[in-house]
Amino acid sequence: MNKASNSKRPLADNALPQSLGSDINLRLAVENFLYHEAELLDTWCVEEWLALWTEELSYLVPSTDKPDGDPRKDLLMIQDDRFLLHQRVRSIVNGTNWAENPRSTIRRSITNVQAKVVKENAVEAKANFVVYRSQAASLNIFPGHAEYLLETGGPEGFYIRMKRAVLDLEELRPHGRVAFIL
Amino acid sequence: MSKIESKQVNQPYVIENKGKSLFQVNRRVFVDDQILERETRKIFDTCWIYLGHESEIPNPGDFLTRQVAGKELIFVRSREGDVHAFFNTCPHRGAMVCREKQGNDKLFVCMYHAWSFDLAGKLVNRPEAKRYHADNSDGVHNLVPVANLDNYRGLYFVNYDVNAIDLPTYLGGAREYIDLTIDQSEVGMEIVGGTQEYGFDANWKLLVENSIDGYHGMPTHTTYFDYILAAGGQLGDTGTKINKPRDLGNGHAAIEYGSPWGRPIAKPVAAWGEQGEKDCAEIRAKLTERFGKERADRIAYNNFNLLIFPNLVINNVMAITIRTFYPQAANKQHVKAWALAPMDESKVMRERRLYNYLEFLGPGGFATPDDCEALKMCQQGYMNLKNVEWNDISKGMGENKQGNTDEKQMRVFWREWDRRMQSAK
Ligand code: FES
Ligand SMILES: [Fe+2]
Repeated sequence: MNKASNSKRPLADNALPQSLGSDINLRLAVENFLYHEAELLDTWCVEEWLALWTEELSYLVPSTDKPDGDPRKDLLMIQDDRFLLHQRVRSIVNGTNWAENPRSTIRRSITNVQAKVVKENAVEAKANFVVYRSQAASLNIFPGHAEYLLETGGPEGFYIRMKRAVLDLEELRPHGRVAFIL
Repeated sequence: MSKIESKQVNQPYVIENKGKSLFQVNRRVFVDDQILERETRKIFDTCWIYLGHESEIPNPGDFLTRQVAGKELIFVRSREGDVHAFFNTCPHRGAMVCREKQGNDKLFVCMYHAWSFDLAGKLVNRPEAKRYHADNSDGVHNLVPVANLDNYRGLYFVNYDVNAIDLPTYLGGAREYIDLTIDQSEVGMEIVGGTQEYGFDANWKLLVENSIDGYHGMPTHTTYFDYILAAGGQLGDTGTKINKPRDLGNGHAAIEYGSPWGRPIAKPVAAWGEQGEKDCAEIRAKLTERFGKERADRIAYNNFNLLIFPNLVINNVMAITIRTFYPQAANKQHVKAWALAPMDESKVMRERRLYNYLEFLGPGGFATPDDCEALKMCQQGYMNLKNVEWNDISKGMGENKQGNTDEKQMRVFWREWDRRMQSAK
């Protein structure tokens, strides 16, 4: 690929078709990927979902009063590395995660997707989400946005290196917890 | 006499039958809004209630607003550096004077008619002041402070009762455990940025019980113990053998124990590597220098869950959490939780601490959501109250030795709760 001809096209030749170099196509590719991710999560295919991640990873959910919280300095709600995320998935699969056993019904809408290439093979993406979670007689709504750092490659076009899900809630009430995956 | 009072005459809240080694709590106390109303008067309006930590308002002019046991408060450090707590309501016609969660300022200006107050609560200005003939020499137009505000080693408490006993006396034996926590640092402790604020449908007293319940660990927290094993920890390797629930007086209680998890105050785990061992050895050496080996080891190795009656929990475990919770209704509570840490902690130890905290604690952690689920299930179970009336808190009664997985510490809470609820005052 001739990088000089279009600075917005540093994607690896074999990672994505050439046609995805334009902003719109990049966004469509990212949207496809995020929809796929959403479907896996909503259908509780959490092990398949785990395969979407790079080896080194971070899955973050900041505290509601500190949306820009830094996991090294601040108290977040979730800051999983590979090991913790693996354990999180395991607890859902094994059913020891009592808050999600029996499983709730979750349904998410992903919108306002934006994506830009930040360096060779790396894409920064942003999307709004609303997750509806119902269990027994209660319905909880989790609105927010997610920031992603994606790497190109793999059967789905991308891997997730970092996902930061920021909730638009002042407090986690009446939800009480986030025991499914945002 | 209200309905609940007449019922209560026939049906006690708490029954302690020493002869039968039976301790029972009537499930009404978790569902009845009239009992909650009584709790508000007899407990929340008369006990010392946690407000916040000194490190949350370190500089002159720092303030924060907080709902504390159903009242809107301002917690502020004045220009002169002294700490105040005011009811967040304008002496004019009542608007909340301070509308931000936190900040730093010179004055509070009410948005409604722009009365303004200095940080010591004194009215300093109001538009068209000449139209007021009543002067403010008696302070009738100042912000109203809470009846009592005091701190013990940086932990600030309020008490709404003008006849309250002083804070150190109230804290009684709980001071021993606060000391063990605060002594971790020579320089001082601080609240880490980020508050976990959450709420769920369960009576607040269920979280009291849960916070000092050593019995539920294994069944409820399988996820967490799986995690510990996967991380290479050994469940038997607990560092200390102590296993004795403590009655600290005035309804305060604690359980103290060893643990398979690492403690960023000087108990390393494999995942921290050699560097972790070295860092911990250094901290321990310093603690030994300050306190001697025995106390240093207790500070470094021993975990505890401390309940300060009625609604403050300090869990000094794989990290330190300060957790307080308030009833919103008989079947609903609001929880706030913070991480407390030594101010002089190294960057890498702080990272280990935060990682530790989140592996267990908080609404996204590997344990707290399961507690929350268990408490919701209890609350829902109490729908059967008419047919199944009593909770059982008897575990360990009649035994010579009480362990942390017994329920003595909960009985300590319930006795004090019952005593206050029965008081005529
Ligand atoms: S209510 Fe505050 S100035 Fe009028
Ligand atoms: Fe628990």
